[in-house]
Amino acid sequence: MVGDISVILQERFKGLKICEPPASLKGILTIKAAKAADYLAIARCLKEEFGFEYLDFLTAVDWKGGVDPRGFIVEQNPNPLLPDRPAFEIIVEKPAAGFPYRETFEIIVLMSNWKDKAKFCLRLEIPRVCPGGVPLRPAPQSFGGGDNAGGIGRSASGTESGPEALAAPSAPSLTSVWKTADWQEREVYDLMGIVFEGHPNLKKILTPEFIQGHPLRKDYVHIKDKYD
Amino acid sequence: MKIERFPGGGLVLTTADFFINWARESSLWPLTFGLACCAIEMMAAYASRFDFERFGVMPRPSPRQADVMLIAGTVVKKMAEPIVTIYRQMPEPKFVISMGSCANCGGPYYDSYSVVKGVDKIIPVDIYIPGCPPRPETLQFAVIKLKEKMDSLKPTRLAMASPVQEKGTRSW
Repeated sequence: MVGDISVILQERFKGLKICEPPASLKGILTIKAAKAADYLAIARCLKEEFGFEYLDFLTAVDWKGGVDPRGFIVEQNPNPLLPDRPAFEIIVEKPAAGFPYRETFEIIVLMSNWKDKAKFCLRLEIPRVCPGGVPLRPAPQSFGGGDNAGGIGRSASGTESGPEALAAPSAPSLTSVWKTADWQEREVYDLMGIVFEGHPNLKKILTPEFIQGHPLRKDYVHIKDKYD
Repeated sequence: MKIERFPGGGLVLTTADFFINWARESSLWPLTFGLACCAIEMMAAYASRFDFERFGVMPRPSPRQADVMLIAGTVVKKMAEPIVTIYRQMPEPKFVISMGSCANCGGPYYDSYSVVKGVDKIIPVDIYIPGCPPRPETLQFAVIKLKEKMDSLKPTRLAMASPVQEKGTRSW
């Protein structure tokens, strides 16, 4: 059954690749969608024709190299009781040479077919900066402030008008296929800044309203808020 | 200051300060308020093995009935506002015990984007307990220390209290 899926899907959608599953999902058939337009159609096909009715999880990976050290809070704790220490320094490991770092986000969807006891993993790579994407707006200051509250957080780099910060990466939303995807996509949006098109209620779910940027991005820069 | 007992009983003399302090510190009712793993140690302190009720410490479910607030765990930025709200809802006099490294200074989450670096940035703290997490005995020791601190208060003259305790928190 699982073997048939890849054949049928490859016939129907051009450019599908069977690829290695993520490290923690060994042995699970994994398919990488060629473009974002196929992604929703593949998911719908898997649910309606192959009975993958349960969405285990939906998550995302940032494939950009190392972590930006400005994402840490570098202010030293001013404790007068401690002796003088060497200058505070955050050591960030450089990305390993030869590793396929690239300017993409990867969305990983794991789904289950309980009747056939099968699992299936769907991956989609989207560019980190999407030229035709939704423009980023400043984060709303108040909680639940009107229509914009759902809106799109400010870019992690903190620059409001930089040309590269104007568009957010976007992907189709899977909420029309699995209702469970609602909160998981909100979490991915909150921590990674991926905009899910067609999501009914795309707003922050974990971080408070006054935290700007998307903290799990590799290029996240911490902007001081009222509690820092 | 002590309670003077007259031979034969029937009459007891003391000062108002001592009497008020004795009454307050004999029934310190903390707010049931656990934020992270320190709350497990706090629960152990309430349970039969350590038996916090020997000290007159009895967890209350409402801030209106509580005297002392145990900040047991990591204070994240999203929880900071509810903590201040609950602190303001407690009646005077109120005391705060900051339990564990996270509540004292942020602890292992000092570099994090989401953690308040010490609960004393948002509310005044009376006793800090180090440890990650502190043992239940440590929490009980902190309550004993808090009682010693309350001994030094002069409630009739509003002396030795922190500025917030003197003025009350209604104004800020």
